[in-house]
Amino acid sequence: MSVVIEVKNVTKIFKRHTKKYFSIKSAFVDFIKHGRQQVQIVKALDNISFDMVSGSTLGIIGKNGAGKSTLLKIISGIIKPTSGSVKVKGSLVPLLELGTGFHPELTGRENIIISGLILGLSKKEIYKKIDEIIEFAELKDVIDEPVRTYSSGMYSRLAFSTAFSIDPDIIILDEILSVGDIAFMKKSKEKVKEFKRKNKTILFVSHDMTSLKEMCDEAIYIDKGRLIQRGEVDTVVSLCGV
Amino acid sequence: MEMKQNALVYPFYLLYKYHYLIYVLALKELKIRYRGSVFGFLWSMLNPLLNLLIYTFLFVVIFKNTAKNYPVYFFSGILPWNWFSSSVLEATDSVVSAGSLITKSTLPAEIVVITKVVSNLINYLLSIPVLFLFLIFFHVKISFIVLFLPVVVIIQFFLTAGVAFFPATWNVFYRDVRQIMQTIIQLLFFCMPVMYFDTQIPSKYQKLIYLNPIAYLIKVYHDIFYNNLMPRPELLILLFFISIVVYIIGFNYFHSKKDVFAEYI
Repeated sequence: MSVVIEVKNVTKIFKRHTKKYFSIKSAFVDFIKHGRQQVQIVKALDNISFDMVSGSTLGIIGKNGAGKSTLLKIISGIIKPTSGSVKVKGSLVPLLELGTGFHPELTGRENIIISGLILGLSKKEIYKKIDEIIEFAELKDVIDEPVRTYSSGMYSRLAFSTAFSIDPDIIILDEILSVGDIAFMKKSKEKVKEFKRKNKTILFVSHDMTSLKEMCDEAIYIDKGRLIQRGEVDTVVSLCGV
Repeated sequence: MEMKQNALVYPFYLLYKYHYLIYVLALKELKIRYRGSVFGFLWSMLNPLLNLLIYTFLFVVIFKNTAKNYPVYFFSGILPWNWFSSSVLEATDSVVSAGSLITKSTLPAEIVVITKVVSNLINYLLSIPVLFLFLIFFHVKISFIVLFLPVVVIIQFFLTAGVAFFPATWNVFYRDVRQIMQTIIQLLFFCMPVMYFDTQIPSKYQKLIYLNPIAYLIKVYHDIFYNNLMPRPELLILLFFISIVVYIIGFNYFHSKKDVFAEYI
C-alpha cells in the first residue's frame, strides 16, 4: 500500500480585510484617511497533517466552517496553502459541486459534453460514455431538451451521472451524494462503492453519518481548522459528538 | 507535467491539450447569445450586414464621402476590430463571472479567457461571407491575396489573447478595470485608421499611430480586402513575432497571478 495523498503541516491563512475593496477609489480614499488598512487574520487550517494510502476511503467530519472545504480545495490544488505541502500521486478529480459548467439554456446532452470535458475526460471518452451517462441518469426522453425545463431532481441526476463518468485514481467528494429520490440515492451510493471496489482512493465529506459509516474505512475530525482526531469512523463520530 | 514548468511551451501546449473544450465552450457562448432567436447563428451574419447597410447609407448618401469604395474600407477594418475589442472586453470580466469553474474545478483559468477570443473569432469568421458580398457588390477585385487572411487571423488571435490576459487578471482584484476598459478600447479605436485613412492625419502622428501593432494589423486587412495589395512578408513576420511574444507574456502574467483567483471571486 503506497501513500497517494500526503498532507504535511498545511496551514491556510485568509487575510480578511476589515473593509473589502473592490474598487481602487475606495481603497485609495481609505489609504489617505487611515494609512495602511488593518488586516484580520483568519486561520482556516492550522498545521494539518495526514496521509492516505491507495484504495482507502477517508471521511472528513466537522461543523460548518471548520475548514473541510478549504482542505479539499487545497488538496485539489485549487487554492494554495500558506505553508506546508500537499503531495498527490496519480490523477485526482475533485467533485466539489454538481453540475460544474452546466448552463440552463443548453440541452442535457450538450451539458454532459461540456461538463465531462471540464472534469478532464477526453473528447473520445465523453462520446464513448455519453449513452451510459444518459442511461444512468434515467433521462433518455428529455436529454435533448434544455436543462432549464428539468426538475431539480432531474438536474441533479444529470449532474451526478456526468460527474461519476470520470475514472481518476483519486476522487474528492464534497457533500454531493444526497441527490435525487431515494432510489437514485441508493444507486449513487452503489456507484461510490463501485469506485471502492475498483480500488480507488476516495476522500469524502458528508454531514450524513450513515453514509459516512457505510463508505469510509476511517475518518478524521476537524474543528476550527485543527485536526482533532483520526480513527475508525464509529470512534471518531462518537468521540466528537457530531 | 514538465510542460507546466516551461513558460515558453506551456501557453501553446494548453491550447493543444484543451482545443476541443475551448471550441465547445466558445460555441456554447454563441448558442447562449442567440438562444430563443429564430435566426440563431445567422445573426452573426445578419448583424454585420445590417450594420454595413446603415453605414453605407450614412457615409455614401448622407455624408457623400468621396473616397472610393469607402464602405469596403470601413468594413474590412471594423470587423476585425470588433473581434479584438469584444474579445478584450468580454475577457476582462471572464474570470470573475466564471464562478465555480474557478473556485470549484481544476480547469486551467486561462481557458475562460481564451474561450472569449475564440467565440468572437467564430463571430468574425461568420461575418466574412458578408464582407465578400460587399466586395462583389462594389466591384472590388478579389485575388489570391485573400489567401493571406488565415495568416493574419492567426496573428490577431495570439495578439488579442495576449492582450486580454492583462485586464482579465486585474479585474479579479479591482472590478473598476471593467469600467475603465470601455473607455480605453474606445480611445484605442479612434487612434487607429478604421474610420479614417491614415493619410488624413498629420504626418507627424502617422508614425505614432503605427507604434500600435493592432493598427498595423488593421492596415494588413485593408491591404488584403481594400487595396488588393500583397502584405509585405517582413511585416507579417514581424507582426507574427510580436503577437507570439505578447501572447507568451500575457499568458505567463495571468498564470503567475491565478493561484489566488479562487480566493478573490
